Amino acid sequence: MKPLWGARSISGKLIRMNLLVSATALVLASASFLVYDTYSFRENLLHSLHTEAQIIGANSVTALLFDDREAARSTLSALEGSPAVVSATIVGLDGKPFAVYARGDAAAIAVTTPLNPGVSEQQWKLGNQMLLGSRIRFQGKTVGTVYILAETSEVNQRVRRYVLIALTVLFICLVLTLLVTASLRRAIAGPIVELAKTAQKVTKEKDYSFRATPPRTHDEISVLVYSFNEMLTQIQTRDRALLKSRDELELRVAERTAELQTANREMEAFSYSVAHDLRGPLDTLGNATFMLRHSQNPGIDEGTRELLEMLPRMTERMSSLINDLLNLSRAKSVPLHLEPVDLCLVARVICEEMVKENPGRKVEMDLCTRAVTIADQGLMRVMLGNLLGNAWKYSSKVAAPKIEFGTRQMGDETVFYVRDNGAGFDPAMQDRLFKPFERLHTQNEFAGTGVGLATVYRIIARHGGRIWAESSVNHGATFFFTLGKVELR
Amino acid sequence: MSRAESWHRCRPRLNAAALLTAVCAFMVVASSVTQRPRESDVEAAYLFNFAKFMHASAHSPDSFTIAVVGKSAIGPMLGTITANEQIDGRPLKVVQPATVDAARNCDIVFLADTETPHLDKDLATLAGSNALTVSNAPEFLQHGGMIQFLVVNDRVRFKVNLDASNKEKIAFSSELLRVAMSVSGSPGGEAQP
Repeated sequence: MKPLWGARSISGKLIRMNLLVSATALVLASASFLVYDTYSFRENLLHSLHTEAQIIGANSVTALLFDDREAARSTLSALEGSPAVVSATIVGLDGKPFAVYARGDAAAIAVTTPLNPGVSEQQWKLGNQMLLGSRIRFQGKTVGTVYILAETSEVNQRVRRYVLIALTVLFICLVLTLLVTASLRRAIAGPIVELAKTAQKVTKEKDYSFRATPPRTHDEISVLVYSFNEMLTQIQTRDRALLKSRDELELRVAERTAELQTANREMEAFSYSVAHDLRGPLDTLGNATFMLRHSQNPGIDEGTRELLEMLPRMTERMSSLINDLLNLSRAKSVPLHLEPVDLCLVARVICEEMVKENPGRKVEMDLCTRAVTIADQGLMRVMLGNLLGNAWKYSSKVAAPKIEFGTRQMGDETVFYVRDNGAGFDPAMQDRLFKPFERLHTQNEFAGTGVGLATVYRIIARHGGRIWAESSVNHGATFFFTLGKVELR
Repeated sequence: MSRAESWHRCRPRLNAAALLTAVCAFMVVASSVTQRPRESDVEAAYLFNFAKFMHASAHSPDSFTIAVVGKSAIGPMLGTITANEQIDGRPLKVVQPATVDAARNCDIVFLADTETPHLDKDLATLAGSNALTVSNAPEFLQHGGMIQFLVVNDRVRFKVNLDASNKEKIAFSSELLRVAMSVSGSPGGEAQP
């Protein structure tokens, strides 16, 4: 019976509500009837006592006037017809009992209190009894007083009987209420419970194909159930549409990715083959030039020889451009061979090579001692070669050039930096810095292909790192980059 | 409030009232023992009361007269009782006529027991006068009187002779007849409604 009395279910609440309402109504009705009945019983008793006192008084006048106690007694004996009357006494003007009546074995009225002056009738309540005193008057004069003692214990008896009946009716009503509510519960709570169960099932199993059974009635509950089902249908429709569009989207993305990958591969293959194929003729051109320059052919005059002297520089530039392009292409496509690499060591080797190649330049170097990270060694060499090469190149016109390479802790990240005190660049141009073939300086100021930093950017990106730069014109430049976890010692 | 509680609350008041009543009753009894009403006083009161329960044609519109004939102690008490009293709006008057003949004009005639020797003559004189005749003389009713006093168990009682009263067109209230010790004659007289 727990769900019946627990406050958790609607049907329990319904039953409790109905029981409470019926019980309250019944108790209130019974109580008011009881109060009214008790009151009216007392009123009636008082009224009949009053009437009896009047009759006895009227019939006792001559008995009192002519001192006929026997007549008064016979008058009083008429009270035998009133079951409520216990005893009665007629008191003469002298205050002494004139005639006495007592029912059965009841005692006569022990004490007769004189009436208050000016009052023709007075009553006293003595526990379960009621005493009524009434003056006997004849021709405007009081000739005596009649006292009637009646018991009101019948009131209590009536109250007891009444309460018993009320309790019985209450019990029957509650049972009937339970029965009626049970059928009502089927009509009201049933569909709601069913709806709640369906909702729970839908939520739990995330299956929107369930439907609540609509009730046969047409009320708010049926509207609720229909709306709920309609909502489920809408959710299903939306789900289907979502799934469809998602599938379409994935398909489209896959298509686009495939197209892009194909295009990329073709592009890389193209640039690689172009660079590679260009190198062959260039080498031949270089060899031919070398042979021409060193030929003792008298047919080559001084003017032609000067032109011939220009050719190696051009072929060299062409060669470095092709190298850079090959590097860029490789940076994108070469599979990564990840291994511990000490970037400081790589930087030192590169710097030593640069110093060896340019013995005339004096550059102050400040390089770190150890910074090991997991990376592709070859690509690291290309990347640092570009950055340090740039630093070397752009500091060439400064009186005391200086190049630094090291690490710095930024938050919980280890950041590498390459710094020079050279020409620097305009910070406004920073977004062009890492794009291929974009140059911030002219060929006359500083020679270059515009591919180096683009290659660097690709290599860093492939290692999952970031790169950025800080600079101002003529105050040098600093390139920062991250490569993930770094071991410094 | 419970019954027991109300009962307790009533009890002291009741006791005080009962005590007061008992004291009063004792005093009344004590005084009555010392001053027992005389027979003549009771008869005087009864005489006055008869006036209230009888119906007869009025002798005078100005007064209701009670005559006391013969030697009796009833006179002074009757005077005291009837002072300032009225019967049917007529002031009460008590007279003591020297002769019975003088009492013919009265509404009630009381014949003292001193009149016993000549009751027949007295009643004959009063015949047709429409007066109520009352006496404490023994055998009064047998002589044709209407109401006779007698003492039973120290109490004054009375007998009624309806035949005599009917003759004089006097009717008694049934209330009165109810308390009479005995009623002789038939009530079917003209004056009886």
